[in-house]
Amino acid sequence: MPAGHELPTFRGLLASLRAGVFVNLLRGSSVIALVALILSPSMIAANLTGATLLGMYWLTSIAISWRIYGAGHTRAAAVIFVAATWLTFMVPTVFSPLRCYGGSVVATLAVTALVLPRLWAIVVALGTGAIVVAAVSFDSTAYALPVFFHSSCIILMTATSLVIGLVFIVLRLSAKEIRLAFVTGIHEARERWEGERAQSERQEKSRTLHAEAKADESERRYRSLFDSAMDCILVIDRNGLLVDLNHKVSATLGYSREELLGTSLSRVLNSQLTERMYPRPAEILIEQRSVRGEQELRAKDGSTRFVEFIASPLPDGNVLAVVRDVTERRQAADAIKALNEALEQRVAEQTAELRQANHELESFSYTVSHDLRAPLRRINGFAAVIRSNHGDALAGEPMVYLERIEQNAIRMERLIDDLLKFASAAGGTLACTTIDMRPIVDTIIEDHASQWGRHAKFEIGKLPPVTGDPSLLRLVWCNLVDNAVKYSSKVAQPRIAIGATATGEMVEFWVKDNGAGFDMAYADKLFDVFQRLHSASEFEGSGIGLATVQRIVHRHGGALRAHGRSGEGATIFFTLPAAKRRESAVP
Amino acid sequence: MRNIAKKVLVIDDDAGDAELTLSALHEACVDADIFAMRTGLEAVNYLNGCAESTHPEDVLPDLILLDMSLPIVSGLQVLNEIRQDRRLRPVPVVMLTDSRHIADVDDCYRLGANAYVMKPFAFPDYVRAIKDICRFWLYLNETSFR
Repeated sequence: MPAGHELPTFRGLLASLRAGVFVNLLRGSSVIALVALILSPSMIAANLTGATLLGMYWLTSIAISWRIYGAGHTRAAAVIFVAATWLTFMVPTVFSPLRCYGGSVVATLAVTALVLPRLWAIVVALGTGAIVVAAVSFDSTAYALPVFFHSSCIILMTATSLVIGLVFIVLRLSAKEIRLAFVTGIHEARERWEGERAQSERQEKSRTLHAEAKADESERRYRSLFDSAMDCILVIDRNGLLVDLNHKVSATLGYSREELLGTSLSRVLNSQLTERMYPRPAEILIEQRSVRGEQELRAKDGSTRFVEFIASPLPDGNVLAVVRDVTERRQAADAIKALNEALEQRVAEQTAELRQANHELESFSYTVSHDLRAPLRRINGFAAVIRSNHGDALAGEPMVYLERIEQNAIRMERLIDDLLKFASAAGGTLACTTIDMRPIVDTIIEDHASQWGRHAKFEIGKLPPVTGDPSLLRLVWCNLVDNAVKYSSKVAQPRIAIGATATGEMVEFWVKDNGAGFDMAYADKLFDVFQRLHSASEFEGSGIGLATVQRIVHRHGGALRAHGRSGEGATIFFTLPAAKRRESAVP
Repeated sequence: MRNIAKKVLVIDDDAGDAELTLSALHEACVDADIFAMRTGLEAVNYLNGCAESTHPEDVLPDLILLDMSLPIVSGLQVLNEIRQDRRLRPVPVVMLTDSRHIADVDDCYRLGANAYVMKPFAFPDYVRAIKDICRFWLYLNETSFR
């Protein structure tokens, strides 16, 4: 026996009995006994009183025997116990057999419960109960039964008690062993029972906790994902009511979660778009497929949000809609579109303005040509009339002044002419065609031969065909050849060389003279309007010719440069686009 | 052929130009009665009056020298009036103008001008041009109703 295993006190025993299976067994047996008592209504009061008294007597005797047993007098304790039990059973039979039943039942059950294993205890309890029921039923029908039946019952009960008592004495010889068996039985049972219950409770609890923890974690994870999603997530039921939504929805639309939950989706749909634009949740659920699309949503502040969505059926019969706010993107695209339109509009406006300006320039040059030329012509005309009609009277100085008037009028007329040419070189569209340069140059030289008076010597090289506007290029050659003739007019033997070099897609032409030349320091002023490097008395000119040439060449996509030295002649180079091979001009 | 002096109508709003034209006509020794009108409206009224007279052929000019830039009723409108009126249609009209604008040349011929002459800058050239015009339109190209 373990050292620390103290003998249980009576109170402890009672506690053990109360706590264990045995308590339940006792309860069950007591119920049976009670039922038996109740079945004899005429004797209820007497039986109850008797049973109580006997019970108390018996329990007291058990306590006494337990004390004796605890003191080490095992046999004495057993004798006392059996004797007490026997007395308990026997005494009542004098007065009433039923009391005998009650007491014997209690004694039997108590002993059985304390000593036997649970199964046996149950069998004994049931058997005892059955005997009691049988006895009671017999007793109630024929109260005056033969004494032998009572006696046999008493003998049976007593025998049972004796057998049980002998179990202590004969089978469990050692007091310690009995005690050990007694205590161990109770403890084992109790421990087993409590252990089982605790274990099952623990298991149940841990299972529940585990399941709850798992569910919690899953829910938390789901909620975290749900709420931290960059897109709006809505759960919509079959009827279009919002079942769940994440933070992003509130952030996007300005409604709180509570405001939206349970309300219809149509609350946030743009009312201008009818619901036919929107795939109904029921349709998605019936067709069991995802639907993608675009939609306009109305925020709480009344602004419109453009969204893309994908709506899919959920297993629980709701629809999951993942909605992405593309308002910024849409607005950016719209802004770019608007910007483009504005730019196009501006370009169109500026083109129109430019066209208008060109038109005004044309009418201006028309006005200039007419309104400036007419008075000049009149001045010149009247001067001529005076000379013709009153020439004789104006001999001497007046005539000289009259001539000056005429000369200046003529000069002014040329200036106007050149300005008009310059203006015409700037405006209008180019009527480009393939041009053979040689005939143009030849014609100009022929046409101007008489005007130039003294013949310069022309050396003309090979001139490749180009693409350009014939009338404008004629003006180019006219100006350049005229200049060359003019500035070489004071040289003893004027020589003018004209040639060209083809360089890829462009052809470079040059006109070289051995005339007055110019200082290279002023080369950049050569092509400006009204810029002259020589005085009018030295060489006549308006200062517009080379500016006109430059403008025409530039309009053809070409370039112009000049090379010269003062007193050693000048060379003007200009490039023009070469004629395409298959369009080459017929000579 | 009746022996009636030729008539030339000069329509020009500028007094100086009109005078120069008259001088040129004089220098060119054109043997004709010269009329000068300052505005298009005046000219149109005058021509309508001539057409309504009992003998239009006696009073209608044999040649009209018409400037383009006239106030209110332009030279082109006068030309159009003449060409639209069946009675005035045979009268030769020569445009005498400073404009070198190709569009003006086109417009004048489209409306039925007989010639478009740009006023030469040098006076001798002007006299020569007037002389040529008158010689052709007054004598060489006599119209049918004469």
